[in-house]
Amino acid sequence: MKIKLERREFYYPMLIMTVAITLLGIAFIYSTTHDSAYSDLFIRQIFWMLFGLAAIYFLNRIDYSVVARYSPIFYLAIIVMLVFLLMVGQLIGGAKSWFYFRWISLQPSEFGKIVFILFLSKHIAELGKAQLSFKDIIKPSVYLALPLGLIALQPDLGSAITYIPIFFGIIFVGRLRLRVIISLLLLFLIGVFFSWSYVLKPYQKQRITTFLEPEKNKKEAGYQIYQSKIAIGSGGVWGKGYLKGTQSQLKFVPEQHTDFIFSVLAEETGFVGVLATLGLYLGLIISFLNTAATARDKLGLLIATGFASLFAFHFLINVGMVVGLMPTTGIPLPLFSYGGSSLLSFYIGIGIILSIRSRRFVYL
Amino acid sequence: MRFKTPVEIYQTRLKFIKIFLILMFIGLVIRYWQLQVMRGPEYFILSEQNRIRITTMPAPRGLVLDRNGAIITKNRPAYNVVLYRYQLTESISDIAKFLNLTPEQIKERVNKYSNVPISEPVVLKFDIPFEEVALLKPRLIDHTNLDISVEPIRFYPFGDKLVHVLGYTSEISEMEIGSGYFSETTSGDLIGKTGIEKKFDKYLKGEKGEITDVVDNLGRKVENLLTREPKSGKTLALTIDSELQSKIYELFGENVGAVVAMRPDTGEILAMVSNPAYDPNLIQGHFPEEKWRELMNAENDPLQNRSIQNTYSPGSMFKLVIALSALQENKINEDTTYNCSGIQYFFRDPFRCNKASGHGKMDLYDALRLSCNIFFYNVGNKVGIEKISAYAKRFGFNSRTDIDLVEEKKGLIPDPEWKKYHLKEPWYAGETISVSIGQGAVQITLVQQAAFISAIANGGKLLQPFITKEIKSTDGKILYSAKPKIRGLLGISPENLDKVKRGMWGVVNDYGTGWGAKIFGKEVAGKTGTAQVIKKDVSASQKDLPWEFRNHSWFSCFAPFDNPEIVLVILAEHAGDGSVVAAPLAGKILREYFKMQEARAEKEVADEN
Repeated sequence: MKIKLERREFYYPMLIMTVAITLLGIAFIYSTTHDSAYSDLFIRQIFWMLFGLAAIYFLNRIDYSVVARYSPIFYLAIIVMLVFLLMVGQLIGGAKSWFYFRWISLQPSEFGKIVFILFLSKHIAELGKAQLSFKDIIKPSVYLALPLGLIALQPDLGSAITYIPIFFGIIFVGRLRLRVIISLLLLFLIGVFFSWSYVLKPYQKQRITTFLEPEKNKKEAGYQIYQSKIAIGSGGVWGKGYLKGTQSQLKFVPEQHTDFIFSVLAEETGFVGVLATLGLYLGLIISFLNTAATARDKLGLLIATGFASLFAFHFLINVGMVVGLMPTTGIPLPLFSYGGSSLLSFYIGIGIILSIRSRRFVYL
Repeated sequence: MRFKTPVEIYQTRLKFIKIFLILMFIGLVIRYWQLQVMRGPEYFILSEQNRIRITTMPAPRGLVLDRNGAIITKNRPAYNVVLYRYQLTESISDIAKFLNLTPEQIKERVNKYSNVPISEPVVLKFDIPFEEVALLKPRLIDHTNLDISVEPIRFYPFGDKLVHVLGYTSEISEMEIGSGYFSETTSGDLIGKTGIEKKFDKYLKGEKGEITDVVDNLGRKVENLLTREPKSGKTLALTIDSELQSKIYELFGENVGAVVAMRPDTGEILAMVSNPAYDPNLIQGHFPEEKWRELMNAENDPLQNRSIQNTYSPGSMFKLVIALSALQENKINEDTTYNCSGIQYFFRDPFRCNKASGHGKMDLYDALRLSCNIFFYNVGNKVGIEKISAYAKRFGFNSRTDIDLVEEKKGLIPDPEWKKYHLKEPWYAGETISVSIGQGAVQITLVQQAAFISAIANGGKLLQPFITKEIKSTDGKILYSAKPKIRGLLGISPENLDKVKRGMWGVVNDYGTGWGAKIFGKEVAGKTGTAQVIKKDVSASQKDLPWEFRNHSWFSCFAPFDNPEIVLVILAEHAGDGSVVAAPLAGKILREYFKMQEARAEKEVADEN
């Protein structure tokens, strides 16, 4: 007979990879903004990282089941905030997604992702079923549709779709029956066809056609991807050197401190830098999934899975987008792109994962 | 036996996700390998050829019109020599030699732009004459980093006459960028520095345009990627009557001081003159430092708008405040009299009248008319400082009028509490006596006085003075239209108001101190003021004193008496008695004003026919 133990130690490798990626991000935020009017953005990002580290410190000490217990309240609060934003929010960059408090502006949709992970995991775990039937995912679908719909109405479609991988990650690992999965896939294909014909707005369609043939409309939307690809490609094997990327430094690439920041890294550090950074990300996501695999209970497993799905989705879409493999969606690179709400919410997520990790089972 | 953890049954699905992730990761690595290693050299050449030049196009600022639609601020083109900083093909000293500048001057300019994207050009020479453009242009072919750009800059047809209202524009300073008042600006932008230009900068400035060109490695344009046209700023229509303004400026002549003309029924400022003035056309643009420093050090501070940015003792004009508060508090009525013998002792100190031999028996009407100090010493003493201060504050003193200009001062109405707090001293009873004739610590601005006189003229409404009547889009659509705004009520009964108004009528029309303001055909009512600059014997001759110690000359009035349409407040610094300088000047201005109005009415009739 083996003895099981609940371990309470801090899992440093995960923390170190997190901080390494954040610092790398800060270095490249500096690289893209240091000669512009926004030269202080990297300092702000440092402050957000410090906030994030404080969050990690506390969350690791709290049992995640306690946090999950309160998730319905958080969930409700987020929904209320999203409704409130729709009613009174100011349009910034074409969407009502920000709360302003003096110099801090918060994006509830970012924190909503973490809340949704907790809330959905709690719900599925409490069902106590070894397998999920179609009936079991009706309620979760409603829980998904509420924030998703409200954020899509802002309209911030990019943020809205990031809720979908959370949902599928959790119900997939929560063992949704295979035949349900297959029928859902079929339904999805029909849905795509339908939404293309009736639902999508012209700019959204344009993004998708742009993604399919970027060289064709070089001047408008395809311009971003075209320039980003030149930046990345011209970086070569070793890169042009930190702060020396001609494409990025001359502001060829738009939104380079947020969505397109990875192209700056690729230009300035080359394939070597890209490989190292992708490695860091892969290591981090694997460590999330390992946390899921060794979790104390189903709740921990699902939370870690949901977060890993969210993180991986952000990462894959963004890094794929800058090389034209994915459509331009306005999804930031996690821990890397400039953005306080996004960074802080990922740190909160990692704090919870660390809490799951430090309460795992080990087999002796 | 193998132990089963609670999450054992989910491991297959987790593994599936892991495999999916690793496959995606491999796909990404392949893609980056393709782009960076296999096609790297190809993209490198593309990036070398593919330079973008973003040229921002400054937006023309909005026009400013006066109340009759005359253009009082417009734009003209300035030709600037600009430098593109990246890929310099020649040395700074060669460029300096070519442009007749010193290398230090160029470095200074370039450093100032250090936080602007490197693709933005730096202005090296501002507003060069057209002859120089013609000389330089053909030679630029050898200087690929230089170019001549055309920039819209301000032209103020009224020059120094309107400068204190309009302000001027020049290059934004680092401090101003930091202040956050001006949004979406970078070094090198021209912004409103003072006056209307600053207050309404966000409406006037428009939206910058941008040309995004792909250029080759020699800086030649290969193709245009994007062009965003600049949008000019909004048009402002002011309440200012530029004709009247010019007239007042001329009549004011060499005097140092200010004049405010206001519509008593609406609060519209018709004219606002401050002297000495300066020509804004000379200190605007990119390098005004030298001229500006000259103005900073010039005598009598021409940069200051004396009607709002400076405060003065109101002198005898403050007797209107004392009279109104005493009447309303029932401390006196129109029959109350005091005997003036030229001097009276209060609290063992002598207080003198402006007429050394004394006015004799004085009632309110005569005391206002002849500006008898002794009468008001007694009345002020009876009302008491607390009440005087409360009324003065209600009349709009001691607080900004919130006129739509910048850096307005709020003046001061002293009371015991203020003195205890700021000077840590008790209030002396004698100070109340000084305050009763507008001396002591009392400080007001011209625009406060104009609003106060307007309130007397319009039956008690304290209006907010304003200068901007309308904001219009470039296609003429009205975006904002100012409405008269009541800041408060004097709270004086109509009967009491009439008693004071009658006194003001007497000042001008009944051999009072303001007789100089009397004009033919219209009845003027006003009050003179003579503010002492130093404490001295009032009977000493002003002529014997150096200029800067002589009295300030005040006059404020409204006209016509029965149906007031204009309020004037005039201050001439160190010019002597109010009755000698300011009041006659008011007469001249009013004569011109009514002449102007008649001519306009006639023209309107003629136009209609």
